[in-house]
Amino acid sequence: MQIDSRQPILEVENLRVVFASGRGRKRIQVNAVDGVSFEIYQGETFGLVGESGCGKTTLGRTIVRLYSPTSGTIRFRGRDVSGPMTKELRQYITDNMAMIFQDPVESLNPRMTVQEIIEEGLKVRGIKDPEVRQEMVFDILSKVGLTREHASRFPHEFSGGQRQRIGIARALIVKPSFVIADEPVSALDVSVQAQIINLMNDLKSTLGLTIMFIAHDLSVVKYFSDRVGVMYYGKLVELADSGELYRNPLHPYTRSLLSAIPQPNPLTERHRETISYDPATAHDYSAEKPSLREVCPGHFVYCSESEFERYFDRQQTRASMA
Amino acid sequence: MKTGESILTVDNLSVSFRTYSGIVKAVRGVSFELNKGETICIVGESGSGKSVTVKTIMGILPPSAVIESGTINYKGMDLTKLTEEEYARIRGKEIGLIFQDPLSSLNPLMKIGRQITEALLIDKEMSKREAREAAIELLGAVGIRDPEQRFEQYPFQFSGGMRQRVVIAIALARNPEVLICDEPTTALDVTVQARILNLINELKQKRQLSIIFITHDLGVVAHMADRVYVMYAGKIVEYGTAEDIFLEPAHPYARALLASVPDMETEGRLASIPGAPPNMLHPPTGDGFAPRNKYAMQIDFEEEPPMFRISDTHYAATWSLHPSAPEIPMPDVLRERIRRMKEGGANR
Repeated sequence: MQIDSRQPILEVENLRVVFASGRGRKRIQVNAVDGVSFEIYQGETFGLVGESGCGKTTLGRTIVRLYSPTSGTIRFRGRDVSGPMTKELRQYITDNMAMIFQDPVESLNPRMTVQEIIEEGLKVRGIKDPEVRQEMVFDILSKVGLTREHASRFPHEFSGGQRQRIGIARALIVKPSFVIADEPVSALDVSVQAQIINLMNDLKSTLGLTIMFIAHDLSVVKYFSDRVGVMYYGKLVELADSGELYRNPLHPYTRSLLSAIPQPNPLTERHRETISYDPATAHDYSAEKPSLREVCPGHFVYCSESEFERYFDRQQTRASMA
Repeated sequence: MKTGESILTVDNLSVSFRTYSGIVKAVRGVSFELNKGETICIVGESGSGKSVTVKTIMGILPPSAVIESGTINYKGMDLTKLTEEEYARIRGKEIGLIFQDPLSSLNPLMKIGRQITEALLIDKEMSKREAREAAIELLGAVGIRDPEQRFEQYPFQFSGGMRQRVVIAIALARNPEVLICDEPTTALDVTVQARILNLINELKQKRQLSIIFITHDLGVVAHMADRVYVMYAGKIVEYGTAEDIFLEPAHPYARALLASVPDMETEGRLASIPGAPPNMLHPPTGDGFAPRNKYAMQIDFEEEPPMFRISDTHYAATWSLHPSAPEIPMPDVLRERIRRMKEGGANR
């Protein structure tokens, strides 16, 4: 899928998030996000994949400023949103960005009705008239496939898929232009996953959203995203159009990740070979410093100079064969 | 498929739970067969009764559960009639179990080694020293490096995949013939999952295990299963070899489930299943899937379909297989995918 207006809505540059604990000799430092740079364009779905602990959730949460970056910049529509948190900046971020969480049970307050959960964002934004708020809640409920009767109920009365719809309604009621969905379907049953993905796709086009989709299920990411970034231990190791990434993965970690996805096909699945990845033997970075390089237009790989040449050659032979 | 002798036979099993809001009919007349040396997968969504079925086999149902009817035949014994004492000789020794969450199935305060030797010492046939050696060997067998040092460590010092290996080692400690895996890789990353699945397959070969594998991930089913049982609303709605189920699914639920999962080639709108699984407090009459099936006929809502025979290995409980039923088309996405699979081009 080609996005016409290649207008970046979000620019992340050399972002680092460090968590530290202890002091003195006991000090432990975790580089959760370690120098990540990328852009998200207006109207696209940007997928972010990686294993648990690779920093993908930290990255998402830092963009909406639930965490503060240690260094680096985040620009949203050209405005730097990585600086010190002020009342005005918080307002700006919450006006423009929203987040959909993974667990539809934990992320909804069990003591609040659906109406209260969804309208909280409106209250914060100073919409005082309860009737206006009610109308807006009814409106968004119908958009996410629920009815106005649902507004007075409590979260426990809903199934997992319906709860995730409530979570989506809560995120979208403030009319954000950019939504970060952190594993929105991984806690759902397979048959319900498809409903939620279709819903998010519909809302994306009717509301003109830009979505950052964080997940570990690579088939779902491939289906849902225009471009995909692969994270490994805090670093973005590969970034490309989703079709290109899955057809032609270059970084050894991406290759091992793709080879590990079980496919619903018993004929090929039983003989599938998985590629294992060990960073210690796969790269020799003692002489050359690795960085994110563009191997062909739009396809970036984290590699050293000699690896770059190898990837580039492979890319050329592929292109000449096609 | 192996046409070996059956090692475990479940016949017409029904299990209900007594709750404050009423009786939940979790399993409603389930029958299946596990042959020696094969892996069967039970596929279904949460609430379909798959976990309750295996808990019944292991005799670890909570007190609120009642076995309404049915038998579980293992080596001539009916497991549903056993006393707790007799069960203690079956559990772990004859039938091993691996749970979903490797963190909560290990004791965080006990060293890994003791958690394995504990299982070995139950039978009082080994000295502590022998048990230690056997445990270290087991740790090595499940692919844990430096087993001697790892023996002295606590669960928190292990990663998720390594913990699941330890759980597998414990399950295999008493050399069971049947291994039940209840979503053993759901909590793990894909690369780790691939390694654990390969490990289970390897151990199956080496130890001649018969495996009941429970999962909702159809990719995992395709990787593991010799035969597949599809469960919906407490019943088995279709079963057959993996090829039968993936290439010629007959029950509307099996078809819808397969069609709703995106694979690497999926484009366009996903074929989602409308609605949600039924509430088992009020189990549906007729075909449980009928309310979510756009091709449902009147009879689907009224009368429960019997198992129709499709081939020697493949059976499905749906009225659409009745000779006088109209032909129901396969969902487009699925027809297309099956065509690709048969041509061998569905994967890279």
